[in-house]
Amino acid sequence: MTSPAPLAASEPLPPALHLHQLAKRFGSKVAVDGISLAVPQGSMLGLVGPNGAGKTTTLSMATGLLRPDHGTAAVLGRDVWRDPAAAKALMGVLPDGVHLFDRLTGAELLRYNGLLRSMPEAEVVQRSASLLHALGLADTGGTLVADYSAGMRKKIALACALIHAPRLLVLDEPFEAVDPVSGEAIRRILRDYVASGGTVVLSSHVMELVESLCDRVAIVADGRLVAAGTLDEVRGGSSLQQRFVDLVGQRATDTEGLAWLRTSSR
Amino acid sequence: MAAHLLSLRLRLLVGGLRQSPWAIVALVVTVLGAISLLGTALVGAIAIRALAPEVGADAAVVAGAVLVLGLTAVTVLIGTSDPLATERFSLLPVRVGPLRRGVLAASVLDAWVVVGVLGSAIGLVVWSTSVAALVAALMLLPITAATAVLVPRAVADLLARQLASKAARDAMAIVLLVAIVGLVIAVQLLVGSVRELADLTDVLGGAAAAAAWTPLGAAFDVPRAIAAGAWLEAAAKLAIALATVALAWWGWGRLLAERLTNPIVLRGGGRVREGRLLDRLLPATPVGAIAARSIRYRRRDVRHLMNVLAALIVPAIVGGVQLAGVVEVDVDGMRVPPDGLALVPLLMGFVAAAIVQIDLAYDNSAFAWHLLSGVRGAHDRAGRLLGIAIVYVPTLVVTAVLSTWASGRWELLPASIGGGVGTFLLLAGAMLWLGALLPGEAPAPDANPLGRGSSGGIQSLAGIALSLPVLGTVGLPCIALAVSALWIPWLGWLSLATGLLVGGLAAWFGIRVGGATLDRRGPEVLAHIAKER
Repeated sequence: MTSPAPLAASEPLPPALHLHQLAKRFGSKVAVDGISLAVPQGSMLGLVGPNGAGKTTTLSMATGLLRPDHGTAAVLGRDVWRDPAAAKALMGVLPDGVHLFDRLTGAELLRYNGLLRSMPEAEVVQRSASLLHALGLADTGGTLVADYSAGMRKKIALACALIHAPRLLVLDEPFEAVDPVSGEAIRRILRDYVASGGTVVLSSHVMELVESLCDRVAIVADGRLVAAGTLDEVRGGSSLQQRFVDLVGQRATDTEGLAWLRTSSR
Repeated sequence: MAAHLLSLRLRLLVGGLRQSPWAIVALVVTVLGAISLLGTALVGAIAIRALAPEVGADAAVVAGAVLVLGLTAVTVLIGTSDPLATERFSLLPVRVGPLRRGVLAASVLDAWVVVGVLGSAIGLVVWSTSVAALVAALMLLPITAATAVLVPRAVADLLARQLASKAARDAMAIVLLVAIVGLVIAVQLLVGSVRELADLTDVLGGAAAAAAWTPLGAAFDVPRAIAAGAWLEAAAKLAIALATVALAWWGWGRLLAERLTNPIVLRGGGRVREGRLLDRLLPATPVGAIAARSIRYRRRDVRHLMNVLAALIVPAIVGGVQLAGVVEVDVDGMRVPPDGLALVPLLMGFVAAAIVQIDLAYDNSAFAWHLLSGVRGAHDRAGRLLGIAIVYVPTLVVTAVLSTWASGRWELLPASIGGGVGTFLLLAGAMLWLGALLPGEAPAPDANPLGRGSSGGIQSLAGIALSLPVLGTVGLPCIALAVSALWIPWLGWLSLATGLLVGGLAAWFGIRVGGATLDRRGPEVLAHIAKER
């Protein structure tokens, strides 16, 4: 296991996101078992792990949606659970598997999220227009978000996470169901954002995407951090896919038991 | 298939009970409610059999029709838990025939089905006056029970389908409202013709004669016709009863088959106008934004629309009855209805405030966006109260005007408004606080609008349990003054002032204390209301 980078100590800047011994248990099942991670400012971190590894639970605890049993989370030095208002003001979040207020139109939803964050009305109006344009949603005026496709919903949710120009973006599966053209637009937005000093933490199941987009990687399995660091540190010469399978994949190639599934054997 | 679905339904029930203590409370309350309902009916039937056997036949028909109608209303308005919703089978290779039989078999675990079957069996008591009638009633029991079970089921599924489709939603909502009002006026007209107690049996007879030719009551009147030897009439009514059951069975099957391939999924309402008016009227702050969203949702979200309709029923009934001109009735020199009609808004304030408690639950997991934005609990509470008040307070005032008009004493208007608005604000304040502790449950935003929890679930009983002592203590001055105004009209003005003052203080309390509670328990509230998917 690669220990969390000691960047927090060596750099004067506080990490954009700092998790310390985060843990959560649901009944008898330990979902997250003491995850510590420091994400330096200006980086793009890919959080990967098999299904049920605890990625979404970890991100929920880091963003104030799920109270941890143990441990702390801090955004740019502000504790998410002791000083939620300060931490949440700095953070934009795209949660996964969460409803939107989908009886609003895209523009109304953006206005809603902007005003909830006490932004000035003029700024909300101007930023909503440019966000809708940048994400290819400009011509959907009058359509309720409930009538959007899955990919369009992902995009409007991303716009909601961006409207207050946060310094940290936490995105749970941002590319799921998004078409290739919109995916490229989102990638460009994220790269520009990081280039200008912003920090992104995103979770994904697609290793190629993480490899092409992120400069840091963290791998979780069974609620624990099994590897974290820069992309090159973690993949150590092989591909991220191979490294991931080596670290967490067991019996991944054993498909002999499914012989009956081969239609030619009928 | 039937046995499989029954055991699945049982396992889901047990699983639900294990998961949440509220489910156990809900089951106990449901069972107690069903026992008391059936017990009352049984005692009534025995009393009629012992004391007035001659009205037994009429009573059985009217009670039977009321049973079918009541179960339909319960299924539609309160909603049935539907863990075996057809949509869940749509990816499995099942045919609709076995599925329909299986779902029917599994529904013996639904409280309202048990009430329907046992309720129709209670009719046997009054038929024991004649052997022929009793035998006929026994033979007809499967048909009466099937009517009581299948008609509500088919009607509720049909309505759910209609309400989920964009085009028909508003029309269906209005039809529903008109149907309820029409029914109430019909009952009023009947009751209105009661001038003396002796008339009661005539009215009962008239109602029975009419109901016996409708699909609702036909099955319940066949034993009388057979006992009386009116064979032709018996055959005709049996035909109506059989046709009703067959139609409900067939129609329900058609709806199930359609849901297998075309699930009921709530969508939006097509294109909407992005009304800038609301945004201009309300301040561009978190409170204003939440209020504007709340108001838009009353109109665009069928779950909220149903609640607004339910609240509109009260003024619609009062206004409708007044227009029908049936209020000027004397019963033994006493005017019906009395001046107390002017205090109907109190009741409506109670109903409207109950919405405040469960408003959070309707957000489901979308409430996460409030948590993510760090909006303060007090702003959340204030915004929701403002939005709900903007929709419901004008309705309350209109109700006050209509019911004062119906009472015929315009000097009671201040008491009427004061009592209604005061009750609403006071209880809304209490519910702003309680709702942050026990937000109740609501159907998921894209689920069947008549699905489970559409009345807020068991936790809204806690709301009622809190409301009554609050009304009896803090609310007492305003209510007592409003009632006293019936004799000393100028006290109504005091009631209005007290109601606004106490209500305002209660709302302030709800916003401050409820807001602090929500700040503290936000993630726990989210976990609770996001469970329903």
